[in-house]
Amino acid sequence: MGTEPGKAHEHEFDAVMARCGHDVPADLRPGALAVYLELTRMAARLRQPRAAESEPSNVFNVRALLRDR
Amino acid sequence: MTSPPLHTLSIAEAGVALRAGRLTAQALTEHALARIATHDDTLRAFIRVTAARAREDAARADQELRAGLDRGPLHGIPYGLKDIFDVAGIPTTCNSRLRLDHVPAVDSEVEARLKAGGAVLLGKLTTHEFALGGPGFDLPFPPARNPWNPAHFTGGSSSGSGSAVAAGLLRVALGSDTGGSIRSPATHCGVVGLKPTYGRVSRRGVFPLSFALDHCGPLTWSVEDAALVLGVIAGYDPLDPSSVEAPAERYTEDLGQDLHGLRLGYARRLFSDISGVSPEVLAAMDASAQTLAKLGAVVEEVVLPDFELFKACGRIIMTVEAYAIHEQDLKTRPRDFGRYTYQRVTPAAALTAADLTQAFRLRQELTVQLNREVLSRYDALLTTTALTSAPRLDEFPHDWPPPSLAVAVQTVPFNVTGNPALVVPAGFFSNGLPLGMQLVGRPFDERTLFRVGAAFEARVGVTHRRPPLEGGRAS
Repeated sequence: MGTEPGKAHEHEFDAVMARCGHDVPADLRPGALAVYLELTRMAARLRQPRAAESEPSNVFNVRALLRDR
Repeated sequence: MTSPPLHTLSIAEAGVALRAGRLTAQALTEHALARIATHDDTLRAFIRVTAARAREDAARADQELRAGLDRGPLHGIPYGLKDIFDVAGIPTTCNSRLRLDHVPAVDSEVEARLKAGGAVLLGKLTTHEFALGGPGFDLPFPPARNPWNPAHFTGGSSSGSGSAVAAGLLRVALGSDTGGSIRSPATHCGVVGLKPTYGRVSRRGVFPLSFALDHCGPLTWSVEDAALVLGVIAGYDPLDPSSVEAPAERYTEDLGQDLHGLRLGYARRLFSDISGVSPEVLAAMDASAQTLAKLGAVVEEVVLPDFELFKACGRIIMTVEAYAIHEQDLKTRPRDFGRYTYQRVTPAAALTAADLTQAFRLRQELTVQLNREVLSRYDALLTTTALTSAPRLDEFPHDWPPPSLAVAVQTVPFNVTGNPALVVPAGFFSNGLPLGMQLVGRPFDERTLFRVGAAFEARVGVTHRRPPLEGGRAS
């Protein structure tokens, strides 16, 4: 995928932003769209078969969770 | 024989003079404040100079030393903090319109440790907005300038930290590093920058960018200075969920040793195959590898996992976590963000829970590969930091992204894996701008990085060359 967005990708971007509650200002849209395309390309790279050892850990530090706020 | 200018004294040299009564913290502080007054109108490294606080700290430090109370190697030494570190009673702006009025009531853990160590706070240093955005001119405070050429970028996001240390306004500055934000300004400004092992230094009280990838560390003028600062700021903090209960270390223990007995992996393909990499970077890194071999190390070329995988993993985690932090403001106050910050974070709304989970799974795999398959055979790695010299600030366009190599640094792999990484000045481009070598160590083995970095620094000698600041302008 190149960095020049096709119309389909532009529509997809606009729809996703609207669904998530973002009214993207028109003058900020070009840069946000470019980043959206880059993130979409990167996310696709992450989808590969994984081994059991790549399970994310969930170790919590109880003392930190109970700290004074 | 004339005395060297005070800002050129190392922490250790200043410490000896302070303890012998030949120098005072007040004199060091006034010298630094005078340099800031002369040069910072050009460099814009500081968001806030805390002169009154500095003078109080310095007077107390002198009084304590006279009374025989010695708080350690940073006693009486001036420092600055990137303006995402909380200091009680002093605004933490994050260089954002969203935080201009935020005055914390409690010190960050790093600030608490520096204060307890008798150091002298000179002020808060500029940053890209929320340690992310970019060198924007639409933020409350303008971008810092590179002391080697003020028309050029400093690297970032700890931009003020790099600029201030390179210009000799400070000997010690603290920064944060989520994808390279200490190491990028270190290489482009020609100073030493350390991203410690994840969990080594507490992030409590530092405004987060990405919980999984944020690190805090020093930018300094020399490797020894960095080792001394790490000794003060490192340590277990039970109130930081990422903090690790690692044994205390004497980080300066191995300085001065040669490199015999060490095996270093040269990760050349991490940058050599990238289109557009400067031939000067290739030549400088090859020369650096040869220098390390002459110092006694066995140096062999190694291949790391695909950089693009590291980059995708790091960017997805960082952007999603930043979005989680700023979601409401991105929806309700989009105009209060700088353009770059808004454009870089808002699109993360489109990423899914599966995307983030896949990124964390890949992170596990990459970390295992780096440590089990590479760093089991080598004591440390070397590679470049940047691919080109620092671009001009006017090369940054109105909208993100800038030209791809303008901000490209080969740093994010070690945020993903959490390994320690040290940038040491390695030479200069033909345009006079500096470049840095990046050393990467095993988890919690910063000592080996300091040993290698100090030996290299002593042999190459570029740390002694400083920007020719003249009459309030960095030429």
